[in-house]
Amino acid sequence: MKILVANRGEIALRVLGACRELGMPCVAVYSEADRGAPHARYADESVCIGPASASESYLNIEALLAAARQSGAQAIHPGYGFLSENAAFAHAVEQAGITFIGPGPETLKLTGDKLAARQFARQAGLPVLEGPDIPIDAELSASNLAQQIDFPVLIKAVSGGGGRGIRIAYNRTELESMVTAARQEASAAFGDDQVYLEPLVRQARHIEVQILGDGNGNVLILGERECSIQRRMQKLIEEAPAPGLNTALRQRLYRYALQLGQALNYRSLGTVEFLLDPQGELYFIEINPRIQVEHPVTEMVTGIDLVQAQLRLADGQPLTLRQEQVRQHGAAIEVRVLAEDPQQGFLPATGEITYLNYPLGPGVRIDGAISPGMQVNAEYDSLLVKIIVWGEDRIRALARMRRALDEFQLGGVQTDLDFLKRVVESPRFVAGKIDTTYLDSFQPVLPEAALVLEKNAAVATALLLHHTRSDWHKMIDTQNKTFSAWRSAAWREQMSGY
Amino acid sequence: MSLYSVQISGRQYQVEIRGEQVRLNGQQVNIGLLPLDHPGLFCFTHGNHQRDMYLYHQHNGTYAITTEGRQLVAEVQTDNENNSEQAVDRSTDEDKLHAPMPGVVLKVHAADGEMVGVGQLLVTLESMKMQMEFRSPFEGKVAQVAVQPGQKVEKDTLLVSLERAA
Repeated sequence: MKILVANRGEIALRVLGACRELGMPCVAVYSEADRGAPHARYADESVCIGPASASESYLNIEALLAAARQSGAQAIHPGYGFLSENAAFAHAVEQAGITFIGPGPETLKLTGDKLAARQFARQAGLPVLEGPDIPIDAELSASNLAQQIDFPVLIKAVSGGGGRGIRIAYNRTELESMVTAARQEASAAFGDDQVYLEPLVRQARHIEVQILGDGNGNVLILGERECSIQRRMQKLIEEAPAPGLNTALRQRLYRYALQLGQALNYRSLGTVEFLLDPQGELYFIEINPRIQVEHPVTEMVTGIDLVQAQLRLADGQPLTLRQEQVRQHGAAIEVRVLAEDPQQGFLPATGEITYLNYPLGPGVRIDGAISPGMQVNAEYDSLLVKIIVWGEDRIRALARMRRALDEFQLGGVQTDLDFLKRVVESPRFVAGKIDTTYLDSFQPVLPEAALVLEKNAAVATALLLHHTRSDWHKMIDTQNKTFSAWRSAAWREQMSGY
Repeated sequence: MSLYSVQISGRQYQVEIRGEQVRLNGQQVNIGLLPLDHPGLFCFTHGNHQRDMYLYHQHNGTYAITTEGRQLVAEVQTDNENNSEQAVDRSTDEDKLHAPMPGVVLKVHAADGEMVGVGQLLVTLESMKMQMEFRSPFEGKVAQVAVQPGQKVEKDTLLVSLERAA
């Protein structure tokens, strides 16, 4: 089966790699801004689908279908983001006689409507947060509504996803402006400005269950992931299994996910997201009908290649794996390295990647699509690389993550690496005592070692400046034969910008 | 002898270099820097301690350092540099709103000549999945909206200029 991957960046590379391993010919698509991008260079064939703007390329259904026809692809893998949850896209793909690698359009229609998904989940016997199952009426003034609700309250986009179109209102006065802000973001992101209200669960953990279905009634549970470390509603660190869950709670979690998966007669990969409150109550939030950014942690503990499983099912191969064969071993943690400037309140950072050194060795996996010389621009999202580690248990996985973060070197673009390291080293994270508000109040502690490093960096900078100015390199060249010409060129390199 | 004043994360370090001798805040340190086979890559040595250090010049007097998984930004002033010049350079015109990062203008909420109140929404910018709202910092008049919806902007692009109410 020939696969077209309708995505870019690390997830496109991830899917293309799975195609290679399965011996399936694969096609990449790229925007004009991504000409020569890693995913385009990796695939068997690469087709340009339009200008840099995502709406004209990676979100352009017609261009994607044309690329599929032109290349003779029999199936389309949507990755995550872009059109991955778009029912109209899935429908158009199937109409074109091409296999959509994911659930059917009807399932996507349901999962794409958060209110409909809530109702469906409630009917399937899952606990769902209270709140009206209707969008906030535009006619109903916010102040009228405000009399009936308890604060704080979450305002969520009906067509939401990926943490977008969500706002919190802590009191009546905030409600109106937050509803407006949520509407605006939802409208821009999803083309639908409908929002609804949901009670805010304080100190909740975000725990999700990976499911895999064949669309013929068989649904497997492939364990859970803890995704409570979030900033601005975006997941930053994920792990499997969720730390400290007792067996009864875990079984309840799996049972709910299975109930929902079976009620949907689920096909392909999906994630059922829950909130876990401090009293141990679970609440269904939503279904993500696609591969997740954080899927590698599940792969690390189960040994199952989720993307290959998806591809095989789409190819018509039967689901031979049985639930009792699914075993989880050890612990896995993933961190998202983002192009963000910590000096500027983690605003997106851009620039050219001038230096890159990945951590290697046992138990370390890197999912990324960057290379030295590459420009990081503001066109697409800020995810550069995911570092995933596995260990025999969580303590060992944490030690491995600390090593990997120490080894990871990236120059030219500011990233959140430092911040990730502080979180991973923080006592509460190490103890697994985390919830979705952990980063709201997180104060990174500057360890003694960091101050030493800073002093070293200060001296090194002064030395560099001193050497480039005094042309000291010439002296070294003549005195010490081991300093060859290319070494002195390194000094001069620094002079060019000065 | 050369004296360098290096600032990292708000902390100030005085580095004195005299021939082979290096002093940090007056204390002698055994620190060296050897270029490696990649532009900007050095072997940093501190006594018996060696580390990769990637060091490059970002813009005037600002250096970026990557080492041991950390990224630092250092600002350097030498003894013969005049820092009053830089101060002028950094003074920002509060009547002008600039994009703090590259992105796309999502919406323009005000028009030229419009009177605006404190906190009134002027421009919404989107960059890498994030939306940012730019509001008027004071009461006044919109002198000029310098961008249009859908327009791509670079960092520091002028978005709106305002005139403060008398």
